[in-house]
Amino acid sequence: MTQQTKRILQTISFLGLAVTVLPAFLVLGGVVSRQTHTHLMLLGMVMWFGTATFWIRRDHLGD
Amino acid sequence: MSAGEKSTLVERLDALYEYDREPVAADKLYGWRTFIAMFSSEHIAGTEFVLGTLLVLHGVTAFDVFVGLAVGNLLAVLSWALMCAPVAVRERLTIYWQIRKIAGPYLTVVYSGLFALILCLLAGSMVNVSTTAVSLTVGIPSPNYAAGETVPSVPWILVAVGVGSVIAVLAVLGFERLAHFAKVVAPWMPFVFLAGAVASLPSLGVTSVGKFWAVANEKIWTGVPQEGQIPYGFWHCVGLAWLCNIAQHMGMGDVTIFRYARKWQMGFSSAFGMFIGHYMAWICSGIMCAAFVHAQRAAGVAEPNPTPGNIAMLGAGYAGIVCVVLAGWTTANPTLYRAGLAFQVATPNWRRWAVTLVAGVIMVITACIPAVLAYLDRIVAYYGLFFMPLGAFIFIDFWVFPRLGLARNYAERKRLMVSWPAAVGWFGSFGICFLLYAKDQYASFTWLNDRLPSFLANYRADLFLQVLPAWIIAVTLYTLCCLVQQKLSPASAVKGDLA
Repeated sequence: MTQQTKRILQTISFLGLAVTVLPAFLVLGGVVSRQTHTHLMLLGMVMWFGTATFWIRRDHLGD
Repeated sequence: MSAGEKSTLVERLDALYEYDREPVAADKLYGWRTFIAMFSSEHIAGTEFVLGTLLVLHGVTAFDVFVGLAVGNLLAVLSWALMCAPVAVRERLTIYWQIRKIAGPYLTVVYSGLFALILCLLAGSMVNVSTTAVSLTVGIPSPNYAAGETVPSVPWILVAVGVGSVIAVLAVLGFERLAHFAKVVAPWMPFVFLAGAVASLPSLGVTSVGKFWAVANEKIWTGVPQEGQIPYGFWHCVGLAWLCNIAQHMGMGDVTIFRYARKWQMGFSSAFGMFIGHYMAWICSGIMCAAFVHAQRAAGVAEPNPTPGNIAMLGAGYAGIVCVVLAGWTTANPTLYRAGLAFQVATPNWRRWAVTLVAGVIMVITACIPAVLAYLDRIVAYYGLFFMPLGAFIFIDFWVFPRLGLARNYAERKRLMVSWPAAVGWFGSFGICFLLYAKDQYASFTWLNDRLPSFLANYRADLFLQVLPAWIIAVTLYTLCCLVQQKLSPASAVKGDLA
């Protein structure tokens, strides 16, 4: 995997985490509904797992 | 008993752990990032959905939770950093070999066997957590233990068997890929806990940060236990946070991990696991639990059932359900794998897959007992108190024995199969602490109050507050017995051992 690919994947992963958590604060502020929040959490989950699997390394410490 | 006798059991055990008999070499040491990542991922599990919920049901106050858990987790971090890691980086050996040196191989076999059993129990609780989420999605209600449902329905058992079987088969097929997947899941899970809790707050009446504390005291951590629950307070929160991983820190289980650390200060990396997993996640699951109970009562449900699946679905929707399934699954798998490894000692001619399957069967049976989740806090407390003493002996043997003029690693030097001081200290400390607790909790032990001196009869012990008494009793018994043992039969002087 090239450094550039890795950076793109990481960017999508971190955006996925943001999409997971930020809508909850918008629910608190009354900006979005709970339903939108749960849908966005699903989207964030897909973004995270669809990308993080490829750049998070495995290690064998403690196995 | 001496060692001239051959023992196939001991030989098997040694062979199993042969590969890590030597101290870790300097070129295989890891830095901060590795330990921070490891602690952050290992201490956010499916059971966090249960323990945070239990604190709400036992009626702690908001102050108890926020301050008590902070103190308890701080004590846990200090225990890792000041007790476990310093010994680990000096000895660089696994817990298995450290116990073997001071307690002898037979007690090490007992330790391994009992540890395997408790691991199966804990893996079962994690399967139970995952099952609550899977069963919710297929419309099967989870048993409500608080409402007297002590046995799950047949369809729920079938789901648990299905979930448990998948976990057991994956553990048999291999651990590596799943370990990698667990590492991918770990950074995502805290965000789900946080998002689920924050999004649940408006349903409790929190519409701004300023209103949080008042609502927290009125509707979440109210100080009033649910019907049938024992009241908990500040010290229970401290004790639970400190105790729940005591087998790893004061019990020295994590010397196996920290033997790879470049320096002892890396013990402080445990703070990431504690304050994300056992502080933030417990608080968040408490908020989700309160929101669920509040919503159910508003809907006219007399006895709400705040299972991990139910509270996660309300707070985070299907992402929450996936989180519960994965949180239970990714932690149950390595737990089951380790249980299989420990069980293998007692099953000489069995293949690894067969042993792991047997452990899997025990895990699935445990998963079908709703009481395991209902009393998970008590189970982890018993587990911690039972396994902690051997770690206390390692600590005393390393730091105190040379100052007392006692020989270190006496069992190894004298080739003893059993160190009787370790046996007395281990079972004595747990037995004393258990009896002091049981005399006020279980009807069959109340007679003890009539026979004990008044200061002990009047002592009201609580399981969560036994960390210090248990540690002090364990090291006192062990040290006194070692003084007698080494006076009767001095260890032959070997250069360096007494220094």
